[in-house]
Amino acid sequence: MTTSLYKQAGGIPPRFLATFDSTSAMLMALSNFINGDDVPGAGFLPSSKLLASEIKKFSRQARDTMFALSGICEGICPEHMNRINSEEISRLVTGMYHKRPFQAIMIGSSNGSMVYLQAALQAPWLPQTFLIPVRHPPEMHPDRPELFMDWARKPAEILLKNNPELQLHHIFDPVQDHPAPEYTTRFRIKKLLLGKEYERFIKESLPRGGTIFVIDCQRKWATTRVDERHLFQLGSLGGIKERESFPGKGDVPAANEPAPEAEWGFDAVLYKDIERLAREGDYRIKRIIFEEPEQPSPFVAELYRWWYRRRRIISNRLLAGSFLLLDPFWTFRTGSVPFWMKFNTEASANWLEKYLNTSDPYDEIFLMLYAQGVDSAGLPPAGRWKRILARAAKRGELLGTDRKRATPDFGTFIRHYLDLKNRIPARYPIPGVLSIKMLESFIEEKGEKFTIRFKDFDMQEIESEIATSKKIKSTS
Amino acid sequence: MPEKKVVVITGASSGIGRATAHEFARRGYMVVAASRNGDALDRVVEECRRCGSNALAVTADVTKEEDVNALARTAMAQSGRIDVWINNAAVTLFGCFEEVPTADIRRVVETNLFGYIYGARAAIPHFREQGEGVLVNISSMVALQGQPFTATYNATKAAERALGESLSQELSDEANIFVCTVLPAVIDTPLLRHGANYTGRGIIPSKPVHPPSRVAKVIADIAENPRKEIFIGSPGRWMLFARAVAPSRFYDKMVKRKVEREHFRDTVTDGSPGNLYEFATDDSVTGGWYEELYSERSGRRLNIAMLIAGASLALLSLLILRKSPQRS
Repeated sequence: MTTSLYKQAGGIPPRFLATFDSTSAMLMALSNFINGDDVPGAGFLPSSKLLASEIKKFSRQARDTMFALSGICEGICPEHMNRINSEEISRLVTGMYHKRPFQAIMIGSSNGSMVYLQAALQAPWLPQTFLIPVRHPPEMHPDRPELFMDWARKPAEILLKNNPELQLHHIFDPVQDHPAPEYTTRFRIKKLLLGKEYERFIKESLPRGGTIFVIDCQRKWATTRVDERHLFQLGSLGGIKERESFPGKGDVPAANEPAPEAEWGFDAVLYKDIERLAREGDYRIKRIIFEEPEQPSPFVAELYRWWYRRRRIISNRLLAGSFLLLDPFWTFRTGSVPFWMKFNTEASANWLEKYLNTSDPYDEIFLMLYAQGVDSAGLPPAGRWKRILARAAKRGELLGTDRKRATPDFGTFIRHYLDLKNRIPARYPIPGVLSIKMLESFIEEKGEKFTIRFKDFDMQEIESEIATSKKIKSTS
Repeated sequence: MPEKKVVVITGASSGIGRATAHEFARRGYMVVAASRNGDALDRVVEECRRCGSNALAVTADVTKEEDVNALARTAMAQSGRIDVWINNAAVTLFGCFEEVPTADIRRVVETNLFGYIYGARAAIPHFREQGEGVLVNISSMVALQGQPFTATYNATKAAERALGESLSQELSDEANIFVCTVLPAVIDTPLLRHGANYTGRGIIPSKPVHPPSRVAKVIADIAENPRKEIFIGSPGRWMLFARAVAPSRFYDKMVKRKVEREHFRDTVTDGSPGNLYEFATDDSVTGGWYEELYSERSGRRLNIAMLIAGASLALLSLLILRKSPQRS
């Protein structure tokens, strides 16, 4: 994926940015779609049947090593922190979209469902959050998070000094990181200002009167404030739970400050800059607000279904993908209704099942389950997914997952794409753009059913939200 | 054939449609035969069964979108798929263009053009869902060259060809979905007897006439090995050649004379809307013209005559062009 990203950006590769990450994968899926392409191998592996079958044969140890090595290769040395330049990242992002006017632009949280909404609206997305894996000394034990927190002070100071528009969320999660914490630790950076490059892109691509959608995932996490713009987050969604104790948790200072969740949450401070730019460019700001990353999935699924029916598409097929297994191009080509799950955990299975309980039945259900190559805690047994697949009236199948193997593997990243293309024969045209007017008429017609809210922007409301958040910080 | 293929044919109660139903039945397809004439369809179903295949009759008026959609739904409900959809139902209208009733013109457009449009819109979504399918539009050689006194019919046939080509382009990304247009020359079907006629004279087909079984075979072949367009009968090609090389005024006069001389009987008839609004009771495959007009040999002789005429015309055109003064 790195290569593809760089090729599209047409610039010098920022070696510090993680590619095996939600933001990068979603950015790749969306920009490729907007530019008329699909995403083979989830964007970072060649689409080879042979490679997929060979990877499947790897032993557990080999797969662990492979995963760890990928982390090491992507990690930046702490001595090189002064090379990180957030504008360079912004250029990478904006360079991924072909130059043309758009009806809307989205800014904010990473979110798989939102990628499908962005694809429908053909609205470029400018992420707020990026991942920088940082290599740490080998002697640091993964069971001592407080050592990681202290060690990170110095590289963080350099990073933040050089990039005053960034906030660092240093994330530590032995479950999600395994086996990478032995080699790297995760710095998630959030943009608190748009920066020159994002502003230039918006001004050049969004005609006056255009809409800026702000993806405002309000998921918070109790963090420890290390410095003014430096937060330490122990655990993460899909990994160690908030305030959960685990063996060897160590002596981490109390996590008493609710901050936007490092990977998915939106930091409202960015609104100030967006509001200024909107005033200057005569843009309309629309907030897309939700509490949990998976909350918009039923909304987006039903929007697609509604849209398909208007387009006289017979399809009654659900394509549920998890984490970075998403491909708007083939979703449209196969006339599938997308449903995004954060991970393939029990909670995600429950969320999908809850949606199926309330939606019209589907004839076909396909599942693309994320597999990082190692067994992770919290994954439900295969039978759990089989029960969901059995709800399809005609056909329910896993895509990309070897049904004979309970344990996940890297080959999934290749196979899910090949299966998506080859096992679903249906072929529908890539649709024209879903207009904002159509989106609004869907919201008006069906919006009340969903927990996701579309709100007009009100600066006073934002300021009050930020103030309330500060109040919580001081009292907690 | 691992799974029985399914073909839907509109206008299957007589003529090309009925012959095509027989041909597909012989090839093992399940035939879903549609037409306004339910009784005739029952006989078609029986004939298909005798050919060794299962068949289904669906009474449908192709001018009604709901009927065509219901036809697709019935085919899907009965067989679970549609492999081939043949838009064939057509009517014709003879008469001096400005003198024929406007309502009849509309009816011809509704049957020949909207019928095909509804058919395509009913079939293609199923093809997309299956990832495969062949739409065959039975147009005519008059789609490529005009013919006097059937202007509306010709316009719809040209529109069908344009529809087919446009759809073929729209679906060009889909490896297994095809749109084919068949352009038959004059075929021995009851179409001319059933058609609306305001010329005051009886109608006979202009020579040469080809049997519907030949068209049916080509349709079945093209459904199995799709190609975008195919002519049936040599006159179509010869006329095209002549049209390309002859001076246009000369060509127009020649065609008009040929039609006046060969297409009309000397009998006097009252103006009639024919089968435009009510289906004809005559549900035969052939129009009986072939036996009436030609033997096989004379047909071949006519082809040779047309070949000579075409070559002479080309030669004449070249001479005229060479002698024409240079235009500034």
